Amino acid sequence: MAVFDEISELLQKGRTPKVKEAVQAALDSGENAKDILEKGLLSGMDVIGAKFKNNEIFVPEVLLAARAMNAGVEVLKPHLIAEGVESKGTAVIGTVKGDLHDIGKNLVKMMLEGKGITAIDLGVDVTPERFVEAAEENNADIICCSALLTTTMGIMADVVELAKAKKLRAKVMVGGAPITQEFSNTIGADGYTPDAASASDMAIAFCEK
Amino acid sequence: MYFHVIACQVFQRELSRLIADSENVISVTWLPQGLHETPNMLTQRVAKAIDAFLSDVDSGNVKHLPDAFLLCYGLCSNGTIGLEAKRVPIVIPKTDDCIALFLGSQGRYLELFNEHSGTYWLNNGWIETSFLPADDAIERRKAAYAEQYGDDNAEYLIEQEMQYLKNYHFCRYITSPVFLSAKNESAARSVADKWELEFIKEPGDLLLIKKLISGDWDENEFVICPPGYVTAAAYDGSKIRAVPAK
Repeated sequence: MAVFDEISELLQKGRTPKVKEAVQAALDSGENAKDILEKGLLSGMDVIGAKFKNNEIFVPEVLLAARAMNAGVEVLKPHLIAEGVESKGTAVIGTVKGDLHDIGKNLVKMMLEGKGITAIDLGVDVTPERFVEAAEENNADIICCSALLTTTMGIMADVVELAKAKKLRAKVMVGGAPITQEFSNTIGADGYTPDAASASDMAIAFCEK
Repeated sequence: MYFHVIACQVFQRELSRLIADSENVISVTWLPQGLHETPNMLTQRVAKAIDAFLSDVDSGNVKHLPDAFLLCYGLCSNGTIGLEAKRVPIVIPKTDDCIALFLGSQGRYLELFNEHSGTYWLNNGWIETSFLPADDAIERRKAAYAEQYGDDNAEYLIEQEMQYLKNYHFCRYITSPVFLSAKNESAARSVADKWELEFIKEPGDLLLIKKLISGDWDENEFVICPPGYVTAAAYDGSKIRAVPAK
């Protein structure tokens, strides 16, 4: 439908004020919030995700699209609640203890939200205990650990161990510039992806299981 | 001994001084600072430098086959992984990055790292060859974004890119035994002021770099990758190991 395509296009171009206007206009014309979310906003983020994986667009475009998406979702929020639209799953996400870099983590968070997953941001410098506690508190489907530094990636092993010891049902996903599949296998994590878009693909697959 | 060093430009002053004073005969290929941001590129550049030097040896341009190639690098975001040693060994310090090399040991680095979470590290080499988040480079970047995405989006993008600095608590400026620079210290203090970090001077120590170029290679501090072997990541704290090439 044209109205949803327009929202999707505007989102992809990072036109935050226009996305808010178009979302409001769609609501005013009687479209339901769930459709606007899924066919307008999330479908726009799908295109962004695919292009990002293909290196057709880069981090700035993704950040701007995600910002537009968040603005659109804010407009929809009360209506989504009223319609009883449920999230697809819950993830807790953070950068591990000792590491203060957050742009990658923020990107993943935005892409998770772009799939309809509730992403609880624990921030940076997060201890294994805090990851696990937050996962328990929120009945999370996924724990997402991010690191930029080789000096801090070892903490991810501690997160995996603690999650296992506490018998959490949450899957542990790891990512960040120095992380590799080999590292993920070595520490027994449930999943590794090389970028934020494929992280959200893996996360939604975990949520749907 | 003859060594050929492949070094990050960040070491320009310290390594140059140590090489001049060394009993060994040492040549250097300098690679630009910052390749850790594109680690695959770093690996390729190092491999190319090794091949180019061996080519010069074969053609007679260089008169002595080195006893080893020394990398003045650490793991550097996995940039030194996947290097195959050809004909002579490759020696690499078992450190995460250059900071340990400027501090004298990986042990001292990790101690400081773990004790003082949120340290933004600076030194002369970094200030002289890299981007500092306190100068007009940020403004130029913002202007470039504004041209492409508009002013409001540009503001947002710069905020997203720089906001991690708000998470830091300290700025540690590693001083150099070979070069005292009021200008560089002042630049470091400006960064600390701008991002409200506590400024601390950390005395540099060249011991690890000295050991590298003198051939004093304790297996706890250096990986020696022999011909027919390739460097690989190690996850037991030793950072880098050598495994047989396939």
